[in-house]
Amino acid sequence: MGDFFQLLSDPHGGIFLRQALVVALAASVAFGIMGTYVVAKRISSLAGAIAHSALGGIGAAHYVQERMSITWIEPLHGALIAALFSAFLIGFVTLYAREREDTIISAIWVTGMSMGLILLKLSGAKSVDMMSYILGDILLVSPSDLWLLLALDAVVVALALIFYSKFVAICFDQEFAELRGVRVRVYYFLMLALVAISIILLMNLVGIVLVIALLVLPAAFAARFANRLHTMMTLSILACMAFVTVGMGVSVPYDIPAGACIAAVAAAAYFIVLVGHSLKRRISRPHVSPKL
Amino acid sequence: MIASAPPATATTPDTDTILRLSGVSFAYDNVPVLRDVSFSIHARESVCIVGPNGGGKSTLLKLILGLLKPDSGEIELFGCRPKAGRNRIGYMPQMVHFDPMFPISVRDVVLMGKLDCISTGWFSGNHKKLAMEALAELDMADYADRRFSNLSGGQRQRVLIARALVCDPDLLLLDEPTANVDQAVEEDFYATLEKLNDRMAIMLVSHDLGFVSRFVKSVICVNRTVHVHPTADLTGRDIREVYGEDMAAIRHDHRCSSEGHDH
Repeated sequence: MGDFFQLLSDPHGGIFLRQALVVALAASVAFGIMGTYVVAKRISSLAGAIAHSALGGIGAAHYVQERMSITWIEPLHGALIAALFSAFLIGFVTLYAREREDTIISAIWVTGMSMGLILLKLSGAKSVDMMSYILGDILLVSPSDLWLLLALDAVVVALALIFYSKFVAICFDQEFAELRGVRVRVYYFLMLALVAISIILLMNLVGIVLVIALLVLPAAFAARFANRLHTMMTLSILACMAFVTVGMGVSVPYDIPAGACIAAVAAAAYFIVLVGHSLKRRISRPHVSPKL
Repeated sequence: MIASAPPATATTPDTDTILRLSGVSFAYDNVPVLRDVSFSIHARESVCIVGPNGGGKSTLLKLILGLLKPDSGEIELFGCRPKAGRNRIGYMPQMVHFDPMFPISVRDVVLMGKLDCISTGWFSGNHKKLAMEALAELDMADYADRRFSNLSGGQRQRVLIARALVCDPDLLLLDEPTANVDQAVEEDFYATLEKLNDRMAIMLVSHDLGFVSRFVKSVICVNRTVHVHPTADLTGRDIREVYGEDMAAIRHDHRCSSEGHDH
C-alpha cells in the first residue's frame, strides 16, 4: 500500500492512477445506491446481462472508428448506448414477454458479448486489447472520459435519491405501488437505466466481467448490518470506496489487474461477514427464544 | 387537515353499490379461469371469497383491482373503471408475496399507503403522522421503528392492514389474512375487523370457513363460476358444490393443505 500512495503522488506517472481513483471513488456513490436497489429487487442477473452487453457497444464503436473513420465515437459512447439499449430491452422483456425470464436474459447476455468480440475482431484495430475491456485496465480511463463519467455519476445519484420512496416501493411491493398510482413501469425502466449507467462508470477500471461484483457485493455486505434501505446505501457506498481503494492499492505495486484485486477484496469481505454472522448465530442460538 | 387529500367525492349512502361485476369472463391463454361472474357489493358490507386453489380467487382480485382486464363483461368500482376507482381500495396482499430479508422499517411499510400523495421521493411529516395513527389503530405504534422482517406473522399482518388503512379506503381487500397466524391472534383480528367494518366494506379471501361464517355476512364461492350465499344459509352442500368434495377437513383445520382439491 505504501508504494501505491507513493505512485499516486507522483506528478507524472501517477496521473492515470489518480484519474482512476477519482472515478472509482465517485462511482462508489452511484454503486452503493444502485447496488442496494439491485440487491433489494433481486435483479443482479439483469445487471449482469446489461454489463456484458456493453461489450457489444464497445465492439461497434471500434468498428465505426476504424472502418467508417468516424473518429469522434469513443468506445465509452458505444458502451453507454449498448448498456442503455439492453437495459430497455431487458426491462421490456421482463415486463411484457411470456418467455422465461432467465432464459431470455442469458440470451441477451451472450448476444451482446459475442457481438462485441466479433466486431472488435472485424474492426481490425491493432491496438485494441480485448482482455483489457473484459478484465479492466486503469489506463483505459482517458482525461476526456473523466468529465463524462463524473457527470453521469452525478445524474445517477441525483435521480436515485429524488425518487427514493418510489424505488423503495417498487423493490418491496411493486403491485401495491401500482395500486397507489405509481407508474411502476416507468420507474422500473428508470432503475434499469441508472443501473446501466452505473455499470459504465467502472467498466473501464474493473472490466465487464467483474463490474457486477462491485455492484452486488458491497450492497450484500451492507445488508448484513442495515435495518433500513438508506442505511444500507450509506454502508455500501463506504464499503465500495474501501474495496476499490484497497484493491487498487494491492494491484499496483504487484502489477496484478486492478479489477481482479478489487473484486477479490469485495468477495473476501462479503464472505467474512457471511461466515461471521452464521458463527455468531450458532454461538448465540441457545439463548435465543424461538421466533414465531 | 390533509392538504393533499383527494377532492371530496359525492357521499355514498349505506345502501350504495360500491362494486358491481356483470357477466365477467376471463381466460389466460384460452384457458378459462372465470366464466360469467356477476355479483355486487354494497358499502360497509362484509364478504368472504372462498374456493379451491386454481379456482380463480386471485384472478378475481386482480380483475377487481384493475391489474387484469376482463375478456368480456363489466366491472364497476365506485362507479368507475377499476383503474380509476382502485385508489379507494385498501389492499393487503398475501404474506408469501414479501421478501423475508428486505431491510425496511414498519413505519416505511405503512407510508407506502401514501405513495399517491407524493410526486418525487420523500414523505412529509404529515404523512408520517397519518402512518403512526394507522399503526396506533392496530396497536402497532410501538413497533414503528422495528424492522418489518423481524416481526411475527400476526404483527406483520397488522402492519399491512395499517398500510391499507392509511390509504383511507372505502373497501378493505384482504388476501389470505389468516394464513400463518395462530388461533389467539385470529380472535384479536376478528375484533379488529368488526371495528373497521363500521367505516368501510371488507372483502377477504380465506380458506378458513369457520372464521368466515362468524364474521362476514355473505360468502362468494369461486370455482370457474361464482355463487353468492348469505352466511346464515351456508350449508355443507353448497360448499361441496364448490370444492367438489367434503370440506370437513378444511372447515376444522385450515392449516390442512387444500392442494388436494385442485381441479
